[in-house]
Amino acid sequence: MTIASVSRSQRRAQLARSLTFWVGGTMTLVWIVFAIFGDFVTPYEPQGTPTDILNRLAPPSSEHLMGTDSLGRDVFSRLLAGARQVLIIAPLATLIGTVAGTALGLTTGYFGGWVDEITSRILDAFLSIPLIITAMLVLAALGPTTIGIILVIGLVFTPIIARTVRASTLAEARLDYVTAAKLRGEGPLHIMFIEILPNVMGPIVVEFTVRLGYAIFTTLALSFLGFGGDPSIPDWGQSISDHYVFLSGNVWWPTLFPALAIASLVVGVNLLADAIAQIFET
Amino acid sequence: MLRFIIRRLGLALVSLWLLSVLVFIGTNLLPGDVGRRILGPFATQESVDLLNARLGTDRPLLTQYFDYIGNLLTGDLGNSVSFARPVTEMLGTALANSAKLAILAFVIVVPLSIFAGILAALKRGSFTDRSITVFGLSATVIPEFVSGIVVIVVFAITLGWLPGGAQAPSGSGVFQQIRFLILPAIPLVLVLFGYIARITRAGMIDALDADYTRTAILKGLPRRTVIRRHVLRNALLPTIAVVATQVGYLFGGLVAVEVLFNYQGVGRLIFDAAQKADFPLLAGGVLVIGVIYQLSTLIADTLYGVLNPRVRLGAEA
Amino acid sequence: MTDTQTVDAVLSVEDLRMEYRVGNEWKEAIRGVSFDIPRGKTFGLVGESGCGKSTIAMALMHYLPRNGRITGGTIRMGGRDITDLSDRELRQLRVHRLSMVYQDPMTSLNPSIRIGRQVEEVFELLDEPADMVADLTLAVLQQVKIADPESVMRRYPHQMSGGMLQRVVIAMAIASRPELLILDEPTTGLDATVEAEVLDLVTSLRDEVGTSVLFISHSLAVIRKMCDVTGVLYAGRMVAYGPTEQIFTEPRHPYTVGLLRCLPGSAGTQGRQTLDTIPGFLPPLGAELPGCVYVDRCAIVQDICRTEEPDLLEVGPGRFSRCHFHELAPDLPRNEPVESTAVAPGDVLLSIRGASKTFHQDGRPVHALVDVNLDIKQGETLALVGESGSGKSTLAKIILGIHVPDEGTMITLDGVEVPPAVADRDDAQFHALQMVFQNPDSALNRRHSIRRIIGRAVEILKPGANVKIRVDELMASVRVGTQLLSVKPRQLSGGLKQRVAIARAFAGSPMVVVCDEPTSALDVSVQAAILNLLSELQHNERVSYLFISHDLSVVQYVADRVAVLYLGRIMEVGTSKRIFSGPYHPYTEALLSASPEHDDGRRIRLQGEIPSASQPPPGCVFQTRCHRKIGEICETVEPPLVEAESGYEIRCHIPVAELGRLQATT
Repeated sequence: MTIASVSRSQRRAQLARSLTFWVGGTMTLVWIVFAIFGDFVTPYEPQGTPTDILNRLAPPSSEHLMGTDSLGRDVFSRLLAGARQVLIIAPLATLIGTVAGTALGLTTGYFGGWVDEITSRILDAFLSIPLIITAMLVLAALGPTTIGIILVIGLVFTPIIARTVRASTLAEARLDYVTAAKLRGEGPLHIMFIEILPNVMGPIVVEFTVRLGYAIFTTLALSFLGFGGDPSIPDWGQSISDHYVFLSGNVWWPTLFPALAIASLVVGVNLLADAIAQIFET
Repeated sequence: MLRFIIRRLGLALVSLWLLSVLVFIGTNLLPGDVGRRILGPFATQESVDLLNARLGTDRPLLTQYFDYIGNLLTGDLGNSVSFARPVTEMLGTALANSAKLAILAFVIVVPLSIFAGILAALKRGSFTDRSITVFGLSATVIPEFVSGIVVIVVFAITLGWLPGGAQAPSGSGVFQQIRFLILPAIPLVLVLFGYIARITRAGMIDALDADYTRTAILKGLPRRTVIRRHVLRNALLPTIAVVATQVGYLFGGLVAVEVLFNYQGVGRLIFDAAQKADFPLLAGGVLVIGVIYQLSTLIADTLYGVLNPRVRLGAEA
Repeated sequence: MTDTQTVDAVLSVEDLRMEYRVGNEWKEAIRGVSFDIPRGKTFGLVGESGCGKSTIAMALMHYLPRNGRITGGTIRMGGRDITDLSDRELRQLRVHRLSMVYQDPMTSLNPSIRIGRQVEEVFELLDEPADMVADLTLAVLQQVKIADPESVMRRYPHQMSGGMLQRVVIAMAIASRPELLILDEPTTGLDATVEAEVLDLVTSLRDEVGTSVLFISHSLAVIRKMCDVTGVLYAGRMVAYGPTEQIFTEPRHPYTVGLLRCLPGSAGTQGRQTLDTIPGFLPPLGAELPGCVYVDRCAIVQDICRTEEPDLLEVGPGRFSRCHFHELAPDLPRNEPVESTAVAPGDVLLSIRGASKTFHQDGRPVHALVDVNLDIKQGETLALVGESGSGKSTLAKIILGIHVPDEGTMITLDGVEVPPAVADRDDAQFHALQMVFQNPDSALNRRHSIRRIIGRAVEILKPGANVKIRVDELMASVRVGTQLLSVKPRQLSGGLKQRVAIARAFAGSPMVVVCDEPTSALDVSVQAAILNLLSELQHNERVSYLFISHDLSVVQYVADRVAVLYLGRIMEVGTSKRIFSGPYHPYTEALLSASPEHDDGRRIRLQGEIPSASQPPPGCVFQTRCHRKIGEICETVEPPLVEAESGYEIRCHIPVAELGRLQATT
């Protein structure tokens, strides 16, 4: 028994019913709002003021909800302001990786043969090193800047996305509508981008949302490891790396709160991604 | 089968060679003036030139590349600039430490996540399934240093059950060492759990829905036998490949975990090398990880081939 | 169906109702079906796709898809209702009394367990002593006529062909000597030659094992050949029921009458007349059907049919029809016969010389096509016939430039040589050579609207034309309403999709259209309409067709000339009339004998399957399976293709006259 294929409106209805969609969406939205308007709602100056240092490492109180850090800055204010950096870097990097990966995957999947063989080898070599280490290597060589981080994450995502797009393209290229296009003399660019691309958008959207989660992950991990670009910008990963040494002295607030902020953002984005993936896969 | 293995081995070697080229580009070409990169903007040109001459980075690139490949093949990875010790020697000790941590994480995560994936698939659509899936999904994307902080705060500081550092005092026995390694292993386990469980679940569901499973059920076999004999074997094949690729990726997680728990492994070494722009050490670390990745996927593919008659015996028609 | 319960029934279904969940709604798929399977007989269920045949089969095994449920009715076997059995009882039922053979043998066996082990499992479930199991397995494999069963037991499914695997599945099914054997489209997807062997096997085993059979098929010819009693399903309802011969020779339901008339080669459609068709579509799952389920498509519909559903009326001994006007059904009005102004074919348009194609598989050459010469005249239909692996599709793809042939191949169109690769061809050649594909789902880009699909083809293939006007013109010529221009392909039925695909192929007035099994993915009623459309377009546009089909009655209906291919070589080529009247090449003779439609009592069964093209047999390539092999010459010398009569060529060591004599006596 074949089940009628899912239409766009059914997809929307399915999304509206999905709990993960609502939970993930809300968590993500909250952080997007803070990233945009964080500056207006922070109770204290996130960058700190010269007098802050007098009140360093103060535990949470009614005055400082989440306490202060080693320079006496308000942890809560820095938390709200810290969303911006990662929410600029991660989506841009994912977008670059998705666009480049899509172009590469379509080309290798459609042409096949030795072009595919050679690219596959290079990508495999690339993929044998964990993302974070490749990123560290390149940033160590070029010096960490915000643009550099965006480009390097985009670069390491490219082969991963290309692999997914290639697999989908291979399957599509075997279908007869591609043959029909060849039989009327369409060029490869038309076939790849006009005929095949719309049919592989599903996996690309899914891959984008999943990668977005990993981009956040990687951005924060890089800043934790000291490759986070401009150190004066409030940043969760850097807050943690600056303060985890104080953990042994029972000073947990400047570390734990940013850690929870990170957890809530990545989980939110990922639940959202999963809800979208579920819908494209049925 | 032998042809399959030889071909697979050839591909692994090609990938490794390409990786060595990429690493060469990353550590010799990208930084431009290596000496300047290491010494920083305030060093005199004289000292930069001197360092470049000592490192050999003032010679033509092609000469450098052949030197580098030649040394690589003899197992010589050069000397660390910042520690002034042979890279091979440093990597050796660090690798042993990392292996302990990695093995512990795998021993915990592989059975756990495969079991969870199987359970989720068998109870497809239920609350159990959704819980496993959503938990796995969330655990996978939380960076290791974040879950690391949480376990330190909870288990080391608040409850005081386990040590917050990873390095056991020298001369400790196996159990003592394991005690120190449990907390650092947890973030690694969390990250791997969701992914392996998800692949296992997907493989199980494919196999449960397959026509051959229907045949087995309609033969009148009991459900347990159907699952044990007909479903599991086909379902777990894709999981093998996934577990192997994760061996390589685990090293990505090791960097943050070893830094956070102050553990002298390969990850920590790579972190130090990257911070200090110690390119020979960095290149060595990256290559070692590449070799481990290629080796583990090679073993996995061979195992997959052995277990899958379609690969082992080849297609006849 | 209380009236028939007096018969000794091995299984009776009473008012079975089933639903499927689509999205969040449950939709009725089986709307109250009753029938009995008489003991020792073969009961056939026939109907077009979506009528509920397989759903019923799965209900009988009590194996429902996750989104399916039984909402009413009983399925009784041996006094118990299958729908009420406990898990344990159900298992015992499946082990001992009820077995099934499935549609796709390639996926029905576990890929990672040896064949022998999978069959042994059945005997273990039957509690045979452990030391007997292997012998019993060997015996049952011999019973299904598997050559060399010892080696087959050690093999894995991927090492065997579809036909052999289906024998294994049948062996597992009969091992328990079940009371009822359910066969759900057991030969769909197999070559006709293999199908014939499997069907013969089922017939002989039924008698040997003494089992009753439920045979489900969409193919009227197969049902007619196999079944004693037949039920015709439509939209989840049984519309006709009775002894098979009577259902086929004196149908009493407008749907049955319509279906039979759709078949090419059925009475009254011989020659160039248009085929009858059934207009309209099957009602969707869950549709509200207050009256007769067939009301929307019935040519003799009256007011009462819309409001009141007819009962299954007894129209003869053991014969029932669910029609208020069953006595009018045999005189269902026919399609207007179109003037058969047969246009004489023109000059040679497309000529293929020395066409060969060698693929390389694991470094070994595979000769898919060997030195083929063919001509297609303007306005004629040349059909290619042969089993899968015979090279039909390879030849078509070479003509279209999708595969580049070996050196020495020459294709000329209207006297001009055509470059071998499609990418090197010029606009005029793109316009001239087009294709209609087997599967319209794959042939139409599912993300593009119909307007875009046809519009793009017009832009490219008919430069300078007003796109809008030309698109409307094409839609009119394939009889698809222009209101459908804005929809996506998935919103269309299979037949409509194929019409759109045909419109696209005709966008730029082609000279030669390759039709690769254009109707084999479609139901017979839709097939008839598509064949009519193709013939009408040919008549109006003077286009030539290269028509590939495995269905010999379709070929006989559409083709002017026929080429029979085997292992990449032409065995026989001539006018359709000559090929189908004989004397035949031994291979053609076997193909005809295997075709269920052409079954005339002769049973020539080809041994085994088509050999691998990487190691063709020495001498005549057909000698390994030829039933008329005359001796050593066949094994050593490859016979040339000779013109035995004017316009007729054959590749055989036996002279045509001799073949005629041999075939007259058997």
